[in-house]
Amino acid sequence: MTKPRGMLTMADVVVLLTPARLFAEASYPGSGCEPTAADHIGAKECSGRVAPALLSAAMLLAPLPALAHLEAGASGGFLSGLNHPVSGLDHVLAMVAVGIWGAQLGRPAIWLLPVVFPLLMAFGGFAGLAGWQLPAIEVGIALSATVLGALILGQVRLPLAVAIPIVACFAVFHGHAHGTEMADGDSALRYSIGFVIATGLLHAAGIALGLIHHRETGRVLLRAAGSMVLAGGLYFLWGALA
Amino acid sequence: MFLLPGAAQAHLVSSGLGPFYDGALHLLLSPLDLLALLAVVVLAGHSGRAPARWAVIALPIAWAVAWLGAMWIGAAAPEAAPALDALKIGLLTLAGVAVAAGLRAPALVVAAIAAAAGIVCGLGGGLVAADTGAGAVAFAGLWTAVLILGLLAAAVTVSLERPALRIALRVVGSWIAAVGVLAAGWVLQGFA
Repeated sequence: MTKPRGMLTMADVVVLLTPARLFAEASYPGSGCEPTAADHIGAKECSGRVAPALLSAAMLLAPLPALAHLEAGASGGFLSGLNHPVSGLDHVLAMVAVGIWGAQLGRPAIWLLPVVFPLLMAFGGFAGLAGWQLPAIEVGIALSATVLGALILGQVRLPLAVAIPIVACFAVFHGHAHGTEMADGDSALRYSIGFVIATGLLHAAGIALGLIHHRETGRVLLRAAGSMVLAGGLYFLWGALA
Repeated sequence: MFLLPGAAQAHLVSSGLGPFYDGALHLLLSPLDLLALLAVVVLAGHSGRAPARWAVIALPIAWAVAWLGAMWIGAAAPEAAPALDALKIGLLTLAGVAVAAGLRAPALVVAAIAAAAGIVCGLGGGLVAADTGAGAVAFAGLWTAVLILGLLAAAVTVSLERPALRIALRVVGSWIAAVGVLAAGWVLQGFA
């Protein structure tokens, strides 16, 4: 199959932008441009092509290291903490599930669970920072999504005295695992603020989703969401036990 | 140790608008001070109008007295900064837990907590100011920011009377307490 004249292929672009080739051509002006990048695209002139290509190559070499410092300094720790909870699906599933289950349970669980969770999560983080080891943390995190998913799927209405300890127990695992994973150079306090806010907002998202519980269709949809959380939890549990 | 660089950095940042605004922006650049201020004021507002009034009087006065005292002591005690940070963390955690638990503290207790927060924040800022040579104008900017922010936060908190908003306030309290507990962990790890 022949290439239509004038059409650029990916190979042409790679050749055109190869710095070594471009510099070699630029080093011998008026040498006939043999072989030239222009040959690859079927053009007769090469001089008008080299300059833009050089510019493109120069742009490729533009100082990217600045991006590495994008999250450093005052905002770095906060943004890092804000991003951390949403970067792990296991954490996201469990946080949203807490909100949904709270909404299913109704008052006062709908707001008590999101109040209890950050406190106990912070306690888990404190334990991790203090060097207190917890057994099977990854299993505990995976179990949180599994159990909460099953509770949502089954629309299980446990008494508050049972629901709060369940959520609190899972919160400790999440806090121990995620509350201490701060990148070097970040501000610890700003990281903590971002981490707690992001977790709280995930709960709020779960509560907002759970409010459809008041409709018949909503209840079905929530059970479907519960089955998805359960499936995700089982997937992570499989990975944790494997 | 993790918290120290942030505190020192906040006093070196220049707004370009002069020392008054450098001082006024201090709270934005020192989240620990800001969080301690908000925690105490939220507790005061959550506790009622009378405690809120006492808090917005006690906090700025204590802040000013402690700042001036620290300036007088001078840079001879910069090693006190970690201990002051630990006290701030303890106070904001305590206030956050109280709000999250829905506790309404008496006016006298709130005033004492506000004064304590003002003292530790003022001492910390004053010690760094003595070390970096920040003057009275910078402190005037900071004190004005503390006063205005405290008044606004207290007024907003007191006005939240609907049950749903009171619950939201308790959630905010739990967030503050959670940040405090995590910050305590970081400090513990830094000193371990």
